[in-house]
Amino acid sequence: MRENVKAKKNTVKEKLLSGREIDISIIFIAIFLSVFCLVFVYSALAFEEGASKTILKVLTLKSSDRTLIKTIVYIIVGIAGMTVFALINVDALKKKVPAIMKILTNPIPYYLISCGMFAFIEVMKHVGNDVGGESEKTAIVGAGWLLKANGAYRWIRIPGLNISFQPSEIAKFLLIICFALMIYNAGMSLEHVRGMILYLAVAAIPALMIFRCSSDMSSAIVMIGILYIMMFVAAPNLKKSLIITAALAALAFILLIGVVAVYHGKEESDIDFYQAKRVLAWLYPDEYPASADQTNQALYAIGSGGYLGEGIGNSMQKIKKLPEAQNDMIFALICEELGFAGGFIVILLYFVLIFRMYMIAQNTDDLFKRMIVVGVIAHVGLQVIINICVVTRLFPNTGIPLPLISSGGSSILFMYLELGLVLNIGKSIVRK
Amino acid sequence: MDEIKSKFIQFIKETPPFLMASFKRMFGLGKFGKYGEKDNKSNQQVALIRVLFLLLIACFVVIVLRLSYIVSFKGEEYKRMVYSQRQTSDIVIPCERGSIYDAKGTVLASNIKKYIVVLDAKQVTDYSKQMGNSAYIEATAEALNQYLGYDKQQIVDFIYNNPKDAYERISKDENGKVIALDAETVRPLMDAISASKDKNSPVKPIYGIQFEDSYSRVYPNNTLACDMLGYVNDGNVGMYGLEQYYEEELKGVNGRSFGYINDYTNLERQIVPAKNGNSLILNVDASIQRIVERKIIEVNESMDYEDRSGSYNTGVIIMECDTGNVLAMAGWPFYDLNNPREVSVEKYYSTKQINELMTKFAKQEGWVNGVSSNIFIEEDKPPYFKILNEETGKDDVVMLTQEQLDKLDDDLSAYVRDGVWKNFCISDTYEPGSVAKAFTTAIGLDSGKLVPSDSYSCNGVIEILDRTIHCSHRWGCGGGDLRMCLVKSCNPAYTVFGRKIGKETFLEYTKDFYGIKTGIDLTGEVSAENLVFNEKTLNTTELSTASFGQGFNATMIQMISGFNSLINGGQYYEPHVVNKIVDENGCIVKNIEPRILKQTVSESTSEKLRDYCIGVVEESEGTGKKSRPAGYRIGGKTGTAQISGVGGYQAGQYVVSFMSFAPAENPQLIMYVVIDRPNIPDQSSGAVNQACELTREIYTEVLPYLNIPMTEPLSEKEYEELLEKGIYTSNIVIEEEVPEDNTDIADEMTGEIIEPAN
Repeated sequence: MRENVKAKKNTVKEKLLSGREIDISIIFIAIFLSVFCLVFVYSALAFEEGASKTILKVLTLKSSDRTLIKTIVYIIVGIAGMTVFALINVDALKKKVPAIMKILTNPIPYYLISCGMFAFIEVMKHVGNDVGGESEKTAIVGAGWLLKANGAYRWIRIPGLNISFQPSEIAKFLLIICFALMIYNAGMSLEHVRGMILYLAVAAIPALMIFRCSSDMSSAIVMIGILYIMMFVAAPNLKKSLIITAALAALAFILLIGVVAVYHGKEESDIDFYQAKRVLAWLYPDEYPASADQTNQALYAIGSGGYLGEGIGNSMQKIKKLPEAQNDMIFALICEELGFAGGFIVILLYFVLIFRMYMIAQNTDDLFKRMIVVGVIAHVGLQVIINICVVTRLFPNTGIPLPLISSGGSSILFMYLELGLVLNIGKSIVRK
Repeated sequence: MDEIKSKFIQFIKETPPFLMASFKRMFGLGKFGKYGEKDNKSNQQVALIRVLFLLLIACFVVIVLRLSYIVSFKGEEYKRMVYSQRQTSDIVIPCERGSIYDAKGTVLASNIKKYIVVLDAKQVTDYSKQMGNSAYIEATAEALNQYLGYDKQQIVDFIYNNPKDAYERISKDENGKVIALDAETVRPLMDAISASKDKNSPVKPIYGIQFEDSYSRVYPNNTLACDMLGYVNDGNVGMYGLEQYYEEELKGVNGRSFGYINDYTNLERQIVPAKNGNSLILNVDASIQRIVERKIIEVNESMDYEDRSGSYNTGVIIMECDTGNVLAMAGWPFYDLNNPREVSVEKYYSTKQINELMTKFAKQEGWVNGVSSNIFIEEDKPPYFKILNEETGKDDVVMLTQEQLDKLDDDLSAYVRDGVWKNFCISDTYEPGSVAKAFTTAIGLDSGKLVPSDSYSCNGVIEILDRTIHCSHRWGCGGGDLRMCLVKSCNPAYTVFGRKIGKETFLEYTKDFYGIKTGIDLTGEVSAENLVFNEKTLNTTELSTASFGQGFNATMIQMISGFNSLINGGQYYEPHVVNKIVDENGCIVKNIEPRILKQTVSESTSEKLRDYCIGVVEESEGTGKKSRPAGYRIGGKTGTAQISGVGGYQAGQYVVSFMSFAPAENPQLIMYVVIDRPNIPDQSSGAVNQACELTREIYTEVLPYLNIPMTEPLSEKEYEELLEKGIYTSNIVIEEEVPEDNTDIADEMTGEIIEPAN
């Protein structure tokens, strides 16, 4: 009897998981990180006396409570999406609906959707007048289709539903699949420098669109970074890819030197090019106090947290001092409230997450699958490193969310979906 | 060379088809063999992934090292920064200054809430940048223009020029000084701002206008009790009078509002509430004060001999005999407490006096010298001085520059303001004159050096060493016993009495009265300790003149406090203006009880003195006859004293006074009236009647107001007069009119000192 049940369970499991195991540790780590997300997003916002809003004519909630509920909803949707993505039996689908799978295995739709979203923003920017303020921080513009914050158009909003999403996060997800497919299709081209340049040119178009249409340089950098790493791993000729890397690094360095040479010495208020200000504030924080302030505040938060922190909810910096404490600066908040220990645990969790994905990437047989896992690793790794480097002044200030921890629905949702892809791929690994 | 060239050409030729093919392949266009189908396991890729992983780990290690560096080496410094930033974000919540009430609860000083308009250019700039629409800046400027009348363009320019300025107080007066606006003025703007932020509002939301609370002192009765109350300056700090004396009680403590983290919900804004100042409840009765001030104004308006105000100063103090509580205190000239700086020179001084004062200041500045220099201000001409040139015997003319003239004007207005602001009753000293005779009499009786039967026969003049002392009756008042000498205020008699008392006894007693502060709770009391006699300066001549009130100075409050002890049985009360101090909820913080400082004379002496003083008013030869109010018996003592100044006594300048108490048998009130240089033709003779009449006028209204029953029958004429004044009296016996006593009342006069002729 008992064995019978066990056998039945096994068959269900086999069916569900197409006969293989899912890497549970990735799921657990993702959920741990989401718990961090909920605790610290709420901690960052709860003190604010934001306006209360009544939802569905019944529930009156403070803005921090609304953000919390919204984040919980996104996490649940994200976990659900991850589960679905992880469980899908791709081979079975290929047999059942070959037409759909043919479209899905073609890079063009991914590429067009990604570029299309930014083209849409560009068009809507010029179409509609401002509709009104949603809050003092964000404004609804573009005939109700866009949200604007800090002068950048980073959200597309669906007017009737009052739902907004961040196209750059979707684009990262889509382009990882897209370029994995491209490498799968045409990896041999990467043997030549010409091929690599072509690849980079194709990758640069959506990145430039993000930069141009959304004024979101950091997302553009992360995107180019992800696609570049994918290319570097895939390119058969290591010598040539190293040459390209060296050339690009030299270019970036010259650009940096150039910016410093041109702008250093000018009054802070005279510099219009804000990226230049950020670079200068990174190098010379004392000379550009206004631009350096945000990072200074983050450093004060980390420093004042000490080794064990002030305790959850006890941050002082989040009160009007640390901007975006629930978002880009959330790592500083964690360090202030949980100290060095908390920060270290977060880094450790990311390390384990990346390690698990690394193991999958190492062991998968398929080039396409390997490229997707590499893309996700690059995505998580780059965002974690850049984010933490920004708050510790190892890198010029730029707004990049900490994966799964920073508030922001699109970022959380699509990170879960990416993990779902990795889990799906992980199923096919034969354990030794 | 050729090889490279041909390679290059080949490269150029090959590239387009290669790129084309690669592009097609990448996007899956056309039929191609897929790269991934062949490449199932690439060792190079696995190695590169490992390198990538190791690089990420290296980055993580660097980050952890950086974190531990920050925490270990910068932790303390950054923690200090965190706290120091918190301190600067405090907001001050203004406290309310305590109010001042009279004994009946009438508000004498309170506050109204006003608002300083603050323009937050940063907020409106940020918002308009966010929305990409400068119409929000326009909306803010438009609102300020519409409701407060600011120039729209100026506001817009300011916002554009100062996009980072989050705190600019824009409510200013003509001189650019920040002022607070009345609630009625800013209310419409406040309403408009909140209405504009409504979801359905037709107009654009108005951002960047804030209101800062501010309390502003108001005195609902304007000039009432101005010298006693004092005013507050721009910094809300008390100046003069009660406002300054009780500054610590009145001012309160400002509150603060700062970010605070509590144990549970992260944090709130912690507010340390403002502690409002304590309020004062006075002994003063505003009704009596009002009567006194009205009468002072009337008497000053009636004295219009010369082109100036009625007197230099007129002081009146009314005190309770048995407590020392001040019921009223007023010092003419008055000023408006709500506009203390608006004191016009012309109101108090004639052109001649102004010229004299300006001349004096010009001499102090050293611009002119010589005794006969005088400023001349003529129309269409700049002011100039004429100075007698001793050599030529002609007048030299000294012209004034505009700067010098401005300086003189400033000096003059400062001088006048100081004169008006200070409390004549406690800050000015003068020679008390004959009122001091009551003190001398009491000293003599109490020490036993004088007895009531001591008498003097006055023939109008007495010579003391090198001086000649005249009686006010040129040919002698005749004198009499001690009582009659006081009644007639005979100077020669008191020169004799003074010497009889002797220097030691005189000094021992008078040190209780003169040259010490009474301790009244008002700012600005002077002691005049350098203006009284001591053992070295009091010689025979001085003793003689001091005994009738000449040669030394005193303040009004010293005189009335001392005199009070003489007639109330010898108890010297500390005079008090404030009855109690209460906090903002009305709870008593401090009760100020009547305080007896010392016993000055015995009860029997006091009784005799009361009788003598009643004589001053009642006797047909009494100098204070005109002070008797209808229906009451009072006692008192007159005083006339010449003003002492540079070069001895000033010709024709007198201070007249009358000290009185009522009702006569059982004194409840004591009043002292002093008129400094009354504006009448002859100040020396008859001037004291101005003080007597002022006394009578005040008593006539104040005694019925205090429900003190009338004791004396009224004549029909008096009854009519009372009715005219609106004072209705019951249980009055109307008595047949008796023929007026037509004997001329000899006006008393100071002992004029005539220097020996030789």
